[in-house]
Amino acid sequence: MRATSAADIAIEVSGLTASYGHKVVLTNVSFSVKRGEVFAILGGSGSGKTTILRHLIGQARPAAGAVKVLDTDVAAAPEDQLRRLRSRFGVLYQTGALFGGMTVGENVGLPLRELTNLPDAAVDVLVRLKLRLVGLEGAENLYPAELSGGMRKRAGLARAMALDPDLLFFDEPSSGLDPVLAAGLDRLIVKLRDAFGTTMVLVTHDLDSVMAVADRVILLSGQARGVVAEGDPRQIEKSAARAEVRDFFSRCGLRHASAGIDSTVTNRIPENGQ
Amino acid sequence: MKPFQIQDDADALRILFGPRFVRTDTAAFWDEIDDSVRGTSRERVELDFTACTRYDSSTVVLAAALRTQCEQRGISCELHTPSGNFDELLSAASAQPPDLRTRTTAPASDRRYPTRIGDAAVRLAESVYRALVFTGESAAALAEVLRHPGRTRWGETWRILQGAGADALPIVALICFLMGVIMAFQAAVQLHTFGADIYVADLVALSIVRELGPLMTAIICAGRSGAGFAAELGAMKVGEEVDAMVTMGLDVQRFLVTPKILALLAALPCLTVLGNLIAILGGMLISATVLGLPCAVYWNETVAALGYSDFFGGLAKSFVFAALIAGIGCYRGLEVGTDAQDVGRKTTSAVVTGIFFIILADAGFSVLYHVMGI
Repeated sequence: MRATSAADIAIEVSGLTASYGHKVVLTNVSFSVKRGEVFAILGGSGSGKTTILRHLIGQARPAAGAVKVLDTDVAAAPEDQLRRLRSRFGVLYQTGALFGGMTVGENVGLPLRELTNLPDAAVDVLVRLKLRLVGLEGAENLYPAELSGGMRKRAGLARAMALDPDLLFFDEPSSGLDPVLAAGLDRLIVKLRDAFGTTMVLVTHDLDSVMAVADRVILLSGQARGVVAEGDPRQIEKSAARAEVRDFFSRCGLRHASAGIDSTVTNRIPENGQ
Repeated sequence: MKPFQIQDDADALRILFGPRFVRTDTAAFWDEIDDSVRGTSRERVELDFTACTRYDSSTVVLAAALRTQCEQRGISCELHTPSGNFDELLSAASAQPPDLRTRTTAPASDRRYPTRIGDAAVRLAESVYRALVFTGESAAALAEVLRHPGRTRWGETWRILQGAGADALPIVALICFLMGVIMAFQAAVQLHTFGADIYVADLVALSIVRELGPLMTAIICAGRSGAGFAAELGAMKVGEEVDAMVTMGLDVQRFLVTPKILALLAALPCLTVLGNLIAILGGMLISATVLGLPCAVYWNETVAALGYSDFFGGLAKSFVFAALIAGIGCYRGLEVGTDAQDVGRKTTSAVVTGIFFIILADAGFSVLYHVMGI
């Protein structure tokens, strides 16, 4: 009974309205993410990026509309179904959210030990495998406090991937990383997508990383309380009609010239952010 | 039907994996497959994953483990892998990180006894030194309050006073009341045999006001406010809020510690006086009901038994206890490092250390009052 299209749609959001109490943050947001896609949710500060993420991972319930993740209606699903869904996706939090009292290896092994019946020997090898995939082999016995910010993120990613999720969420993956590390993480995201076909959803405002890895994006606006642009970021950058979208993609004309932006623009410092 | 088949042929042990072999299957059949390979007497093992299109990293780990086992026993192992990233994962799972062993053991420090005793002594000296510095800083900050009262954060102090004082009243009242009841009961049974019923009032009044009232109230406050202060400051340390304050040039003592000490210095004596009164009322209730002593008689006896020195001697203790609870709570809170577990450890330690020092100070007071003849 499953429709053919449902098989290749990982996330479907239709008519989502999100609010905190009486404050409405998003109205009537609809978009969908295909399987195996690297999808970015862009937007300025306070535009509701994190709100959408919270709705996608079931930490917030929509005021109206429906959120379907991996064919499960997040808003309507009973708790046991949600729990099953949660083991099918991983979330990389902004600062890694590693458990400080456990070593890196214990952190990565935790979901494996708690949520599966795999023998200990298998868990140990799996932990090593996951750490190897993120380039942290040999770091099993270090504590999160002993890691740098970039290593903590990668360890968090290894933990998010512990259960071979179909879907990975990244909250601000490049925040707090230097350009080299951020690029490394971008490459890792694409590599993992290519190797595992994992659907990747990035919540970010790092344009460089979006241009490098994202297949499709949506741009949220705080004023419009919803989506103001959707599609291939490189296309949007070139042909956006709305001033708001153009400003975002050109950093108000300050962004270093890439395709389609006149280089003279970047040398002009705008006044009053116009 | 099992998601795999074992064929024990004459030339080789063949394990054929089905189209779907994922984590749950790996967990369920790990031992069975492992045992079959372990128990085989064949020269060759063939692991056939070619049909397996739905696999995950646990499947790969199983394959790697089986292959390693064969290699260790000198059996030849043939692995047929499916298309996809199986091979890539397999090489990642099989590779032994070269520096794993060296890093598994934490920096091997010298664990001989003389070294450990020395280390412990140095640590002890350091912690005593830090505690002394903290005490000095706190005292200086309190002196600063007297010199420049306007610079103290009275709003913050008031907020803490609410939490540490008014909000603590119900539990302090309940416990002190029960303490008065218990003491009166115990005393009534003993004194009644001598016909000295009236002295229940003296006994309850003196032991509560001089000793137990201040002590119990302080212990309750150490559990409530001392733990609260430590956890609050600890969470601020973890969130780098304390660091932010220091870099802004704000004095942590003046900003965070002094208001707490001031608030508790005001709250604890008030709680103690109220607790004393309620404990005496508890004693009165028992005397009236069990011994049939009129309340007025009990009250007059209490007033006659208590001297000013008893009352103020008890009150003086509560000021010292207040400074100890708030100081130790803040000190432990500021000791917190960077993780959440540390907050729990230091909060526990704040209560334990706090109660220890309260009892120690109380013993000191007993000796002091004895010498002074109070």
